[in-house]
Amino acid sequence: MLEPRITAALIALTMNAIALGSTTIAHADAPVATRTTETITVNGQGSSLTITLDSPVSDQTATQIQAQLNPQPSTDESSVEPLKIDPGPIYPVVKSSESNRKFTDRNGTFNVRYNGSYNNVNWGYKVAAPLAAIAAGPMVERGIDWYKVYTHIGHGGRHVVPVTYLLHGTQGGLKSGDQLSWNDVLTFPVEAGGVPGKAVLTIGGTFVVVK
Amino acid sequence: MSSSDTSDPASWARELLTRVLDSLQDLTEVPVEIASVDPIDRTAERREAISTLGQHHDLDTAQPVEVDVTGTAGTEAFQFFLLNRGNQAERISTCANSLVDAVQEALGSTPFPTCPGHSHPAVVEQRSGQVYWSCPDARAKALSPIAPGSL
Repeated sequence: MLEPRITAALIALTMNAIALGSTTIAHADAPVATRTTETITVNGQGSSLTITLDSPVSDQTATQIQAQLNPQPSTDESSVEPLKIDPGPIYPVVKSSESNRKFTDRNGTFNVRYNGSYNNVNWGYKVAAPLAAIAAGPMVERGIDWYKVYTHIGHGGRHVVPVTYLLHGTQGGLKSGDQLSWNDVLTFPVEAGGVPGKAVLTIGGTFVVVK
Repeated sequence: MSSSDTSDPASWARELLTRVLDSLQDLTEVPVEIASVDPIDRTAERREAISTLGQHHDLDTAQPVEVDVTGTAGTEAFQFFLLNRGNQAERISTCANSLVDAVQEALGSTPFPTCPGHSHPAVVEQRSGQVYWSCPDARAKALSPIAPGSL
Protein backbone atom coordinates (compact mmCIF):
# COMPACT_ATOMS: atom_id res chain seq x y z
CA MET A 1 0.00 0.00 0.00
CA LEU A 2 2.81 2.38 0.85
CA GLU A 3 4.96 1.83 -2.18
CA PRO A 4 2.76 3.59 -4.77
CA ARG A 5 2.48 6.61 -2.49
CA ILE A 6 6.22 6.86 -2.01
CA THR A 7 6.70 6.50 -5.74
CA ALA A 8 4.19 9.25 -6.30
CA ALA A 9 6.01 11.40 -3.80
CA LEU A 10 9.34 10.99 -5.51
CA ILE A 11 7.79 11.70 -8.91
CA ALA A 12 6.20 14.79 -7.49
CA LEU A 13 9.51 15.90 -6.02
CA THR A 14 11.37 15.42 -9.26
CA MET A 15 8.72 17.51 -10.97
CA ASN A 16 9.30 20.48 -8.70
CA ALA A 17 9.39 23.58 -10.79
CA ILE A 18 12.47 25.59 -11.49
CA ALA A 19 12.39 28.69 -13.62
CA LEU A 20 14.43 31.60 -14.81
CA GLY A 21 12.96 35.07 -14.70
CA SER A 22 13.68 38.51 -16.08
CA THR A 23 15.42 36.96 -19.05
CA THR A 24 17.01 39.39 -21.50
CA ILE A 25 19.04 39.03 -24.64
CA ALA A 26 22.18 41.16 -24.73
CA HIS A 27 23.39 41.90 -28.23
CA ALA A 28 24.67 45.44 -28.32
CA ASP A 29 28.30 44.74 -28.99
CA ALA A 30 28.35 41.00 -28.61
CA PRO A 31 28.94 38.99 -31.75
CA VAL A 32 26.62 36.26 -30.45
CA ALA A 33 23.41 36.97 -28.58
CA THR A 34 23.63 35.92 -24.92
CA ARG A 35 20.53 35.33 -22.87
CA THR A 36 20.86 36.55 -19.29
CA THR A 37 18.72 36.49 -16.20
CA GLU A 38 18.63 38.10 -12.78
CA THR A 39 15.95 35.97 -11.15
CA ILE A 40 15.99 32.26 -10.41
CA THR A 41 12.96 30.52 -8.99
CA VAL A 42 13.01 27.07 -7.43
CA ASN A 43 9.66 25.75 -6.21
CA GLY A 44 9.30 22.68 -4.04
CA GLN A 45 6.26 20.81 -2.75
CA GLY A 46 6.06 23.09 0.24
CA SER A 47 8.26 26.01 -0.61
CA SER A 48 8.95 28.76 -3.08
CA LEU A 49 12.48 30.09 -3.51
CA THR A 50 13.24 33.26 -5.44
CA ILE A 51 16.85 34.36 -5.88
CA THR A 52 17.28 37.87 -7.18
CA LEU A 53 20.82 38.61 -8.28
CA ASP A 54 22.31 42.09 -8.22
CA SER A 55 23.45 41.71 -11.83
CA PRO A 56 22.48 39.35 -14.63
CA VAL A 57 24.17 36.03 -15.28
CA SER A 58 24.02 33.94 -18.40
CA ASP A 59 21.31 31.35 -18.72
CA GLN A 60 24.06 28.75 -18.65
CA THR A 61 25.26 30.01 -15.27
CA ALA A 62 21.69 30.18 -14.00
CA THR A 63 21.11 26.60 -15.08
CA GLN A 64 24.26 25.56 -13.23
CA ILE A 65 23.00 27.32 -10.10
CA GLN A 66 19.68 25.52 -10.41
CA ALA A 67 21.47 22.21 -10.80
CA GLN A 68 23.43 22.99 -7.66
CA LEU A 69 20.15 23.56 -5.82
CA ASN A 70 18.70 20.29 -7.05
CA PRO A 71 20.45 17.62 -5.02
CA GLN A 72 20.03 13.91 -5.50
CA PRO A 73 17.58 12.44 -3.00
CA SER A 74 19.39 11.22 0.07
CA THR A 75 18.62 7.93 1.75
CA ASP A 76 16.87 9.98 4.40
CA GLU A 77 14.29 11.00 1.83
CA SER A 78 12.62 7.62 1.88
CA SER A 79 10.45 9.08 4.60
CA VAL A 80 9.39 11.98 2.44
CA GLU A 81 5.67 12.43 2.20
CA PRO A 82 4.21 15.10 -0.06
CA LEU A 83 2.03 17.72 1.55
CA LYS A 84 -1.15 16.88 -0.29
CA ILE A 85 -0.82 13.20 -1.17
CA ASP A 86 -2.09 10.98 1.60
CA PRO A 87 -4.85 8.47 2.07
CA GLY A 88 -8.09 9.51 3.72
CA PRO A 89 -8.14 13.24 4.39
CA ILE A 90 -6.62 15.62 1.89
CA TYR A 91 -3.71 16.42 4.16
CA PRO A 92 -1.16 14.19 5.91
CA VAL A 93 -2.10 12.94 9.34
CA VAL A 94 0.50 13.38 12.08
CA LYS A 95 -0.19 11.07 15.01
CA SER A 96 0.98 11.59 18.56
CA SER A 97 2.38 8.07 18.48
CA GLU A 98 4.94 9.16 15.88
CA SER A 99 8.29 10.33 17.12
CA ASN A 100 8.79 12.86 14.35
CA ARG A 101 7.26 13.50 10.93
CA LYS A 102 9.51 14.84 8.23
CA PHE A 103 8.53 16.79 5.10
CA THR A 104 11.39 17.36 2.69
CA ASP A 105 11.57 19.16 -0.60
CA ARG A 106 14.51 20.54 -2.53
CA ASN A 107 14.68 23.72 -0.46
CA GLY A 108 14.63 22.20 3.03
CA THR A 109 13.13 19.89 5.62
CA PHE A 110 10.27 20.53 8.03
CA ASN A 111 9.96 18.28 11.09
CA VAL A 112 6.95 18.12 13.35
CA ARG A 113 5.93 16.12 16.40
CA TYR A 114 2.43 16.20 17.88
CA ASN A 115 2.36 15.94 21.68
CA GLY A 116 -1.24 14.91 22.24
CA SER A 117 -0.91 14.92 26.02
CA TYR A 118 0.31 18.52 26.00
CA ASN A 119 -1.92 19.77 23.17
CA ASN A 120 1.01 21.14 21.19
CA VAL A 121 3.35 20.50 18.31
CA ASN A 122 7.12 20.88 18.28
CA TRP A 123 8.42 21.89 14.89
CA GLY A 124 11.74 22.46 13.19
CA TYR A 125 12.96 23.58 9.80
CA LYS A 126 16.36 23.41 8.19
CA VAL A 127 17.39 24.87 4.84
CA ALA A 128 18.74 22.29 2.39
CA ALA A 129 22.54 22.06 2.32
CA PRO A 130 22.95 23.04 -1.37
CA LEU A 131 20.92 26.19 -0.79
CA ALA A 132 22.73 26.96 2.46
CA ALA A 133 25.99 26.62 0.54
CA ILE A 134 25.29 29.74 -1.54
CA ALA A 135 24.30 31.86 1.49
CA ALA A 136 26.53 34.86 1.98
CA GLY A 137 25.25 36.09 5.32
CA PRO A 138 22.77 35.53 8.13
CA MET A 139 19.19 34.44 7.58
CA VAL A 140 16.21 36.49 8.74
CA GLU A 141 13.20 34.44 9.74
CA ARG A 142 9.96 36.43 9.55
CA GLY A 143 8.38 34.24 12.26
CA ILE A 144 6.16 31.24 11.65
CA ASP A 145 2.40 31.75 11.30
CA TRP A 146 0.03 28.98 12.35
CA TYR A 147 -3.58 28.58 11.26
CA LYS A 148 -6.27 26.24 12.50
CA VAL A 149 -8.28 25.78 9.32
CA TYR A 150 -8.49 29.47 8.37
CA THR A 151 -8.01 31.14 11.74
CA HIS A 152 -4.66 32.59 12.72
CA ILE A 153 -3.66 30.93 16.00
CA GLY A 154 0.01 31.76 16.44
CA HIS A 155 2.94 33.84 15.28
CA GLY A 156 6.47 32.86 16.21
CA GLY A 157 9.27 35.28 16.85
CA ARG A 158 11.54 36.91 14.30
CA HIS A 159 15.06 35.52 14.29
CA VAL A 160 18.36 36.43 12.71
CA VAL A 161 20.47 33.28 12.61
CA PRO A 162 23.02 31.45 10.47
CA VAL A 163 21.37 29.84 7.45
CA THR A 164 22.38 26.41 8.74
CA TYR A 165 20.45 26.99 11.98
CA LEU A 166 17.67 24.58 12.88
CA LEU A 167 14.68 26.86 13.26
CA HIS A 168 12.33 25.46 15.85
CA GLY A 169 9.44 26.20 18.14
CA THR A 170 6.24 25.02 19.76
CA GLN A 171 2.62 25.80 18.93
CA GLY A 172 0.07 25.06 21.62
CA GLY A 173 -3.69 25.19 22.02
CA LEU A 174 -4.30 22.18 19.78
CA LYS A 175 -6.61 19.20 19.99
CA SER A 176 -6.85 15.93 18.18
CA GLY A 177 -8.40 16.34 14.75
CA ASP A 178 -7.20 19.90 14.20
CA GLN A 179 -6.15 20.81 10.67
CA LEU A 180 -3.07 23.02 10.90
CA SER A 181 -1.46 25.17 8.26
CA TRP A 182 1.79 27.00 8.71
CA ASN A 183 4.07 29.26 6.72
CA ASP A 184 7.21 31.27 7.21
CA VAL A 185 9.51 33.44 5.12
CA LEU A 186 13.31 33.15 5.23
CA THR A 187 15.50 35.80 3.65
CA PHE A 188 19.27 35.79 3.24
CA PRO A 189 22.00 37.17 1.01
CA VAL A 190 23.51 34.80 -1.50
CA GLU A 191 26.41 34.61 -3.89
CA ALA A 192 25.52 32.47 -6.86
CA GLY A 193 27.59 32.10 -9.99
CA GLY A 194 29.96 34.69 -8.59
CA VAL A 195 27.19 37.26 -8.36
CA PRO A 196 25.72 38.57 -5.10
CA GLY A 197 21.98 38.63 -4.60
CA LYS A 198 19.12 37.92 -2.24
CA ALA A 199 17.14 34.73 -1.62
CA VAL A 200 13.55 34.77 -0.39
CA LEU A 201 12.38 31.33 0.66
CA THR A 202 8.69 30.99 1.51
CA ILE A 203 7.89 27.70 3.22
CA GLY A 204 4.67 26.15 4.44
CA GLY A 205 2.38 23.18 4.66
CA THR A 206 -0.81 21.70 6.05
CA PHE A 207 -1.41 18.59 8.13
CA VAL A 208 -3.90 17.12 10.59
CA VAL A 209 -2.95 16.12 14.13
CA VAL A 210 -4.51 13.02 15.67
CA LYS A 211 -3.99 11.45 19.08
CA MET B 1 -7.03 49.23 32.62
CA SER B 2 -9.83 46.82 31.79
CA SER B 3 -10.32 44.66 28.71
CA SER B 4 -13.30 46.87 27.83
CA ASP B 5 -10.96 49.85 27.41
CA THR B 6 -11.49 50.53 23.71
CA SER B 7 -9.04 53.46 23.74
CA ASP B 8 -6.17 51.01 24.12
CA PRO B 9 -6.38 48.13 21.63
CA ALA B 10 -3.59 46.35 23.52
CA SER B 11 -5.15 46.54 26.98
CA TRP B 12 -6.08 42.85 26.94
CA ALA B 13 -2.41 41.97 26.39
CA ARG B 14 -1.19 44.30 29.12
CA GLU B 15 -3.58 42.67 31.58
CA LEU B 16 -2.35 39.20 30.66
CA LEU B 17 1.29 40.20 30.90
CA THR B 18 0.82 41.85 34.27
CA ARG B 19 -0.80 38.71 35.62
CA VAL B 20 1.95 36.47 34.26
CA LEU B 21 4.77 38.68 35.55
CA ASP B 22 3.17 38.82 39.01
CA SER B 23 3.04 35.03 39.08
CA LEU B 24 6.75 34.80 38.33
CA GLN B 25 7.97 36.88 41.25
CA ASP B 26 8.93 33.88 43.38
CA LEU B 27 10.16 31.78 40.47
CA THR B 28 12.99 33.85 39.08
CA GLU B 29 15.71 36.19 40.17
CA VAL B 30 15.99 37.59 36.68
CA PRO B 31 14.26 40.97 36.44
CA VAL B 32 11.78 40.77 33.57
CA GLU B 33 10.34 44.00 32.26
CA ILE B 34 7.95 44.70 29.41
CA ALA B 35 9.10 47.63 27.29
CA SER B 36 6.31 47.86 24.73
CA VAL B 37 3.02 46.25 23.74
CA ASP B 38 1.95 47.48 20.32
CA PRO B 39 -0.89 46.34 18.08
CA ILE B 40 0.29 45.29 14.62
CA ASP B 41 -1.53 44.54 11.39
CA ARG B 42 0.28 41.90 9.35
CA THR B 43 -2.62 41.19 7.00
CA ALA B 44 -0.73 42.04 3.81
CA GLU B 45 2.36 40.11 4.89
CA ARG B 46 0.36 37.03 5.85
CA ARG B 47 -1.68 37.10 2.63
CA GLU B 48 1.47 37.32 0.53
CA ALA B 49 2.88 34.13 2.04
CA ILE B 50 -0.42 32.29 1.64
CA SER B 51 -0.64 33.45 -1.97
CA THR B 52 2.98 32.57 -2.79
CA LEU B 53 2.49 29.02 -1.54
CA GLY B 54 -1.02 28.65 -2.97
CA GLN B 55 -2.25 27.55 0.43
CA HIS B 56 -5.93 26.77 0.78
CA HIS B 57 -7.27 29.66 2.82
CA ASP B 58 -10.30 31.89 3.20
CA LEU B 59 -8.75 35.35 3.25
CA ASP B 60 -12.05 36.90 4.33
CA THR B 61 -12.07 35.07 7.64
CA ALA B 62 -11.80 37.59 10.48
CA GLN B 63 -8.49 37.24 12.30
CA PRO B 64 -7.64 37.95 15.95
CA VAL B 65 -5.89 41.15 16.93
CA GLU B 66 -2.13 40.75 17.24
CA VAL B 67 0.32 42.64 19.44
CA ASP B 68 4.10 42.91 19.30
CA VAL B 69 5.64 42.59 22.78
CA THR B 70 9.19 43.64 23.57
CA GLY B 71 11.03 43.57 26.86
CA THR B 72 14.17 42.77 28.76
CA ALA B 73 15.21 39.84 30.95
CA GLY B 74 18.18 41.10 32.91
CA THR B 75 20.38 42.63 30.24
CA GLU B 76 18.92 40.57 27.41
CA ALA B 77 16.22 41.85 25.06
CA PHE B 78 13.33 39.68 23.90
CA GLN B 79 10.34 39.95 21.59
CA PHE B 80 7.25 37.88 20.93
CA PHE B 81 3.79 38.15 19.44
CA LEU B 82 0.42 37.54 21.06
CA LEU B 83 -2.96 36.93 19.48
CA ASN B 84 -6.22 37.89 21.19
CA ARG B 85 -8.00 34.56 20.85
CA GLY B 86 -9.36 31.66 22.88
CA ASN B 87 -11.01 31.60 26.28
CA GLN B 88 -9.41 33.30 29.26
CA ALA B 89 -7.52 30.22 30.42
CA GLU B 90 -6.14 29.69 26.91
CA ARG B 91 -5.17 33.35 26.60
CA ILE B 92 -3.29 33.34 29.89
CA SER B 93 -1.64 30.04 29.14
CA THR B 94 -0.57 31.21 25.68
CA CYS B 95 0.74 34.50 27.10
CA ALA B 96 2.78 32.67 29.76
CA ASN B 97 4.19 30.16 27.28
CA SER B 98 5.06 32.86 24.75
CA LEU B 99 6.82 34.94 27.40
CA VAL B 100 8.77 31.92 28.64
CA ASP B 101 9.83 30.91 25.13
CA ALA B 102 11.08 34.40 24.36
CA VAL B 103 12.83 34.95 27.69
CA GLN B 104 14.40 31.50 27.68
CA GLU B 105 15.75 32.13 24.20
CA ALA B 106 17.20 35.43 25.40
CA LEU B 107 18.75 33.96 28.54
CA GLY B 108 20.26 30.89 26.93
CA SER B 109 20.95 28.04 29.32
CA THR B 110 19.63 29.70 32.47
CA PRO B 111 16.38 27.89 33.34
CA PHE B 112 13.40 30.24 33.24
CA PRO B 113 11.35 30.24 35.34
CA THR B 114 13.12 28.36 38.11
CA CYS B 115 11.71 25.04 39.23
CA PRO B 116 12.78 24.87 42.90
CA GLY B 117 15.27 22.10 43.54
CA HIS B 118 15.62 21.18 39.90
CA SER B 119 17.83 22.19 37.00
CA HIS B 120 14.94 22.27 34.52
CA PRO B 121 12.56 25.22 34.22
CA ALA B 122 9.02 25.26 35.57
CA VAL B 123 6.29 24.89 32.95
CA VAL B 124 2.81 26.28 32.39
CA GLU B 125 -0.03 23.93 33.27
CA GLN B 126 -3.67 24.52 32.35
CA ARG B 127 -6.03 22.26 34.21
CA SER B 128 -9.70 22.49 35.22
CA GLY B 129 -9.93 26.17 34.43
CA GLN B 130 -6.79 27.00 36.39
CA VAL B 131 -3.46 28.08 34.95
CA TYR B 132 -0.33 27.74 37.05
CA TRP B 133 3.41 27.11 37.04
CA SER B 134 4.34 23.54 37.83
CA CYS B 135 7.26 21.16 37.90
CA PRO B 136 7.21 19.16 34.66
CA ASP B 137 7.54 16.02 36.79
CA ALA B 138 4.55 16.91 38.98
CA ARG B 139 2.16 18.81 36.78
CA ALA B 140 -0.87 18.43 39.00
CA LYS B 141 0.75 20.53 41.74
CA ALA B 142 0.91 24.31 41.44
CA LEU B 143 4.20 26.03 42.25
CA SER B 144 2.64 29.42 41.67
CA PRO B 145 -0.82 30.29 40.37
CA ILE B 146 -1.09 32.43 37.26
CA ALA B 147 -4.85 32.48 37.11
CA PRO B 148 -6.26 30.89 40.26
CA GLY B 149 -9.84 29.76 40.54
CA SER B 150 -12.35 29.10 37.84
CA LEU B 151 -11.89 31.23 34.73
